[in-house]
Amino acid sequence: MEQQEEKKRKDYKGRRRQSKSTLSLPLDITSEILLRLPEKSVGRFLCESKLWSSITTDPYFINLFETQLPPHPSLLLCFIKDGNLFVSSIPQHTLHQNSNKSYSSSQPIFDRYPLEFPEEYSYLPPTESVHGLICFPGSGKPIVWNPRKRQVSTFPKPRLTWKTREIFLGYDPIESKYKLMCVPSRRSSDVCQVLTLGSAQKSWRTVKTNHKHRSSFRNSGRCIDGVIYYITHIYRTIAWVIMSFDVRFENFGKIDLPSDIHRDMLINYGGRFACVDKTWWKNTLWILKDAEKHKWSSKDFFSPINI
Amino acid sequence: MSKSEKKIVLKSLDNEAFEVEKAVALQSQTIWVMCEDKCVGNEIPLENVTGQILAKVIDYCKKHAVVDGDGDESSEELKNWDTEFTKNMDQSTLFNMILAANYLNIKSLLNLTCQAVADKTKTIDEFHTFLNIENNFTPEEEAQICQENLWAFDD
Repeated sequence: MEQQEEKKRKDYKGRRRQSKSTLSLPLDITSEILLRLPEKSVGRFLCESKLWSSITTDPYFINLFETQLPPHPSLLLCFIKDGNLFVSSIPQHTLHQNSNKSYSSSQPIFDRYPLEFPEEYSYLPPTESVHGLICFPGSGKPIVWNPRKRQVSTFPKPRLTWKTREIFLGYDPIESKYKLMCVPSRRSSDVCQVLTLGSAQKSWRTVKTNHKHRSSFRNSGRCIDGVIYYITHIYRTIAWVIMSFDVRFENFGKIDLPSDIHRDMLINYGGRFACVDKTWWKNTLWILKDAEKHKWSSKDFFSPINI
Repeated sequence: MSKSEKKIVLKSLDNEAFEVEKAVALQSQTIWVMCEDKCVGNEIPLENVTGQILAKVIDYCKKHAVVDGDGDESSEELKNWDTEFTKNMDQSTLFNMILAANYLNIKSLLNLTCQAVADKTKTIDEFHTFLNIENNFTPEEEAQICQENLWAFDD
């Protein structure tokens, strides 16, 4: 490994050079070109000059690079076996072309990451993609995966070990920070645990919640515009409500659900938080209009498949 | 509108004059603003663009103006035309096309040429030559920053 690293470094030393011509592109155009390169090239090029390093580590650039759609968006299929995460990608244009058929070609495995899942790993579904990152909460150390950088990072176990807990991944677009937030799902608690990704302090912090609550089990939360939403049961009450967690200020808010809804699924509906209420006779989409006033609007829809 | 009002003359850095339809030239936001403000006559001097490059820029604008106006070509055909257009350009032409697209403010041409550079440039050496960047890290700094970004070097 060390030899390889030494070789890589030597390769790059050999490339040191001085420029001859004086004509150069404006900085914003250089950055336009870099944005169109594959992530590995950008990673390599940032080692090449202070100027490039400053462009490619600039939060504005990172934000654009991570949020712009890749030239060919793909559907990622992942599965975990023997401590490995296997990922296969199907280009989206293939899906459109074959929209009437099932996709049946033997797709080669596109990536494999060795993961530190404990053997007794109880499967918890990964989070949605939050600003380009996906979290596998696991039952031990949570893992965060960056598919564009093809990188997985393992984080410490939350300090308060509630036997069953939910971990949500959130992104604060104002300060460009990702955070993991952990709440119990069996016993109510008036604290939660928060870990800021990429900060110097690599441990969980205890943050007080305004409402003693527990998350519903196997809850897929949604992070929209810097707020994580998840289904909650508040201590000594009977109804389920939506809890909102402001990723930047780390405070909680309670949002009452419309009465009698079967809180089946939480979705991001065109940038707004929404709940799908499914009964055997109809499907209703409840869209959050005003979190403070607990106002929702509803829309019935027909679903050809059983969602 | 008389015939002469529909036409506009673009004059390059090396004094080459190109008479084009106004609709063609107005794809450049820079020219559009100039015409809108009536700060130029029928002849527009473009001091940053050579005749050789301007001719290519006009080719591009003509192609795109026709399509936008008449809609007689599919976007697929236009895409193929764009690919062909940049395919055989050498690095120096591409470099000057980017500068011209930037100066004339033609967003779609700037996108096309930047994408062409990104697609054609596979190695760091090529990129250095193209973007004229010098490596000004000390060997220690370079080693450290490469060490921190080893993921990018795994093939």
